[in-house]
Amino acid sequence: MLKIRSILLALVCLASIVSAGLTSAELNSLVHANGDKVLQLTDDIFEPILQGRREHSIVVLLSSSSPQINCVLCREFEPEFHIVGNSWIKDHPNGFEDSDEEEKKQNIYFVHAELANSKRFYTELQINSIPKVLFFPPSEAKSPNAWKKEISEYQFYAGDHKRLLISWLQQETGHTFNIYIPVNYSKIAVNAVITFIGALVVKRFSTQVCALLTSRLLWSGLSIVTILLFTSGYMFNQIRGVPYVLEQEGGNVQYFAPGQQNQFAVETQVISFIYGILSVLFVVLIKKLPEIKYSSVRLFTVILTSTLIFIIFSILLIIFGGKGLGYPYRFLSS
Amino acid sequence: MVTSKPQEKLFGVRVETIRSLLRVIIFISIAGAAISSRLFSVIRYESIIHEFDPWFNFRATKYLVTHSFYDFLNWFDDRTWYPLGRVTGGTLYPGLMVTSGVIWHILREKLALPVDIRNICVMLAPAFSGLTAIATYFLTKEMKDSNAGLLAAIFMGIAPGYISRSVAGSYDNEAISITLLMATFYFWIKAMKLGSIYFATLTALFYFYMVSAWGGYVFITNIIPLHVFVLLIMGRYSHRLYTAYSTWYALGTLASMQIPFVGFLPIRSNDHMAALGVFGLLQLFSFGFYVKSKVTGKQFRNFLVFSSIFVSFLGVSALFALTALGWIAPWTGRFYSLWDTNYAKIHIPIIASVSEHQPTAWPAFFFDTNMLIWLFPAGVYLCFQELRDEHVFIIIYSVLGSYFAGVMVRLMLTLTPIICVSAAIALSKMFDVYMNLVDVLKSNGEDNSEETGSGKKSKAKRPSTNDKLFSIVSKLAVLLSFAFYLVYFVLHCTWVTSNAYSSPSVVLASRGPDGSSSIIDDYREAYYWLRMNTPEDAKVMAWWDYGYQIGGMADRTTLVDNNTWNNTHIATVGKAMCSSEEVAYDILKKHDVDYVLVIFGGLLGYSGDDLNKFLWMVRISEGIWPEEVHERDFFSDKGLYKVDGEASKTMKDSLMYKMSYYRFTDLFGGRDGIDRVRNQAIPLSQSPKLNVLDEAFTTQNWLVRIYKVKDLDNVGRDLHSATKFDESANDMKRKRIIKKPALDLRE
Repeated sequence: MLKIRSILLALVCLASIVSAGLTSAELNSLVHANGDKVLQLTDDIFEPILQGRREHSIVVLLSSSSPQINCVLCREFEPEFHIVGNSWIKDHPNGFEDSDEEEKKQNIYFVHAELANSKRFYTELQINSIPKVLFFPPSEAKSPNAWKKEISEYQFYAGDHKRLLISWLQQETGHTFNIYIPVNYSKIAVNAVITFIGALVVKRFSTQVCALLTSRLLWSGLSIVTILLFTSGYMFNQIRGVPYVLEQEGGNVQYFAPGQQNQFAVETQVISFIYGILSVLFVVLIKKLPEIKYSSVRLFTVILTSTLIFIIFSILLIIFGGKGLGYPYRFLSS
Repeated sequence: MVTSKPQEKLFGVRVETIRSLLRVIIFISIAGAAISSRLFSVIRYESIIHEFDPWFNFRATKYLVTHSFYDFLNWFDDRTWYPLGRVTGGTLYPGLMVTSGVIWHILREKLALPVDIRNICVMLAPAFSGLTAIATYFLTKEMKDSNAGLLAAIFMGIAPGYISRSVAGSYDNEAISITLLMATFYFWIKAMKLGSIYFATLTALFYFYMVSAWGGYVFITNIIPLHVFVLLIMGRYSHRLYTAYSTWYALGTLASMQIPFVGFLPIRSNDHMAALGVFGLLQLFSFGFYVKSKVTGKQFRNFLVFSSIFVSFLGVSALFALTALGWIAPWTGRFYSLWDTNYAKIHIPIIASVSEHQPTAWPAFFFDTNMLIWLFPAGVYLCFQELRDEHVFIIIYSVLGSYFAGVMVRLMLTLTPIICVSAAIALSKMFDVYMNLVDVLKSNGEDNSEETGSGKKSKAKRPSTNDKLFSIVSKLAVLLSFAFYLVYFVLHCTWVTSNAYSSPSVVLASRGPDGSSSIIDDYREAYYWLRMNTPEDAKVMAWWDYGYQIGGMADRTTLVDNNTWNNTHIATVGKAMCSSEEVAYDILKKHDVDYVLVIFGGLLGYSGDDLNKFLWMVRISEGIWPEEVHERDFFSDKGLYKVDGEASKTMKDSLMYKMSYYRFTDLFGGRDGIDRVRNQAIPLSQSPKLNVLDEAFTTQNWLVRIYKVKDLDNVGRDLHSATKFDESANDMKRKRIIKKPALDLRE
């Protein structure tokens, strides 16, 4: 696939030197070279695609999925854009050219410019913020930089992004759009297989399954893990979509977000681990250790457990104090 | 731990008597600690009602004690939500006001103590926190024993998670409802254990009180049925359960429908359907057990299969049909936002905008409960070890409570009690094990005793002195370390309460350049100005956060307030704030607005001001007028939220921007103004001009600015040219001298 693509790319680039700007047919072949019908923009091809005269319009999404930039809206918007783009191609696989309608309709091509792959394109357009959706209408201009001037930009609103994007595109082009949300067959198949196997297992090992379902260990484990996750900010990560860690410039990695109302996803793991260990040690202290028969061993283990609790609790306080609230208490200074 | 025989005596007094005496003393000390740790704000500032909602509750209470109870229930308030008004009597939970009203009457008429109603309102929450501690004691006692109960009571008394909502002056529904929550749960456990109609009736009674006091009663409405449901699944159906639940459900539901605001919700809204469903299920179970006792096993099995299919089909189709017919109200938005966490973000910006509805990061949990948070899972584990019926309740409450608290910061409040209870169970178990010195002492006194009396399995090898020493040392090590943690816990709670939860937010603390502390009282200065200088029927427009305060302190009519029942009306105010003067003037005139009030923290460095809330105003009004208001327009070209020279044109033209920075640069003597909240410079050349408003009053530290809406021009000019004409005519007019106050906001 990749090879075909690169050959095509070389071809169209060659063509573009002659005619300056890709024709619809050329774009079409590029689009169909890939499973995903949204073109990935790279620094090699943005000029042939956008420069010069064209009969079609082009919609470009500028976004980034890199964790350094941590653009929440990008992550939210990107799949929706791809759904809209793919749905359009599904409705019009070869554009309007072979349709014998009277009025000449313009084709639309959807392009996705990922920041990492198209740095030069971003500099050319002097983009300071993402995400952006830019619409390049058909143009007659011949000059190489004309494309930078005839742009209209999509306004991001709160709401269902697909519908909002479509209504904006309808305004810009006058076409009607349908949405086909792709059916994830592999997921359905996996689910079906799992259900089937699950049913088989239940049927075959019904007594064991019953024992498992009524097992106190399973339920206590489940509840306690749930509690640990929720009390260490798991829902915060889910709702806010916070990054795992923050990679700063110069390769430093920041693991703990400052501020009481903020955290990174890794913090949930660290903190739930600390809480879990403390709880386990505490339960060992009150349940298991008193049953040890030899008092010297008991003394040793009790002291060891208490010391561990102390050390881990101190670490917890150091982490908490490091969140920058002016918290005055520490057991051990870091 | 050690159950004493009735004959045991100490100094000639029965041990049981000494125990109860000690218990009473401990209760009094706990209540004392709970109340006194909530008094920081009264001592530092004064006896004042805090924040926003309490001001409405206070105003309603005043109405209640000056009018009759029936007047109060029928109260139509025409001084808020102008011009709509609000059916206040039918849209509030009267429990809180009635409670303080009753206390006021008792003190005044029975005890001849004419206390100011304000002081009762201020002190109500601390007083009830003492009662909460006692209710928690009884609840925990049902779970383990009275030792755990006392620990739980202490934790409940000083845990910051609960203090945050019950400091003196925070006169809000939560102040009394946590007490009621704990009491209801205690009576429920008692009723379920004993199968007692008496206790079930008490549960219903306290449930009714809870319904009358707080919308959070839905938590009880769902958790008790869930408890019963889980018990049924576990095969623990009993007649005790049947009696307790049926009594509670029937009485509680009927009673809750007496509250005007609740009305027929318990039989119509889906929030309450679980309770009804479990009620029906219990009847089926009971019927099933009856049939089982009458027929053979095979017949019963057929009966079971057939009837369960039939009943579940009937139930599901009835639910769908009733919802489709509109007999059952759709689930409320706040309820949705608990489960589908994206729902609020997309559909209801007004819910998403409230900071209490934000998800909770882990530091908040630790901040509010400290070491209890890691004792909590251990306590849940211990509950699993025993797993009596009441322990199932603790487990369900723990899991659900953790989820809710994780989704919404304010629900930390409902999680805190269960954290206290289960941590107390864990900790008291530890004390049981390590404070038990019986084996050490016994072998000391009676060398010839063969077994150690504490019921341990240790084989009767006579303990040597070495063993004893080891045992004592290990016990001491554990006890001392936990005593140390407990002391630290108290320090933590005091620190948190004193630093984070004791600010009235109506009065701010500040620190002068020389370190002396003083008080910033701009809010009350502005409200008092309104009260004294404006006509009694003047309409004041402000963002909804300040509605209750304006109503309570300035006694003026407001357009919107913290009871956010009408989103469109709030969006209208938001639109007026974020659109240009011409558009805004039209809105202001149509709503008879006389004064506009904005909070501006740029001079003082107060970050909770209107410009920082501005984007929410934009978002909320964008939800209603997507064509006219665009959030994007308020960002600079680079996509940043800017107020300086780079601010977008829409931003600079908006009424909010103009009102905030009007004459701001005058303070800086010919240089650019510096906004200390956003750390941006307001260019002198772009100092905003106002055409449709006149500056009426600005408080000492510029925290509150009040503008008067100009009348239509007498000779029919538009206000723009009229202002221009006035300016040219009054060029000679003396400029108002304004001085910059030298104050720093204390964090």
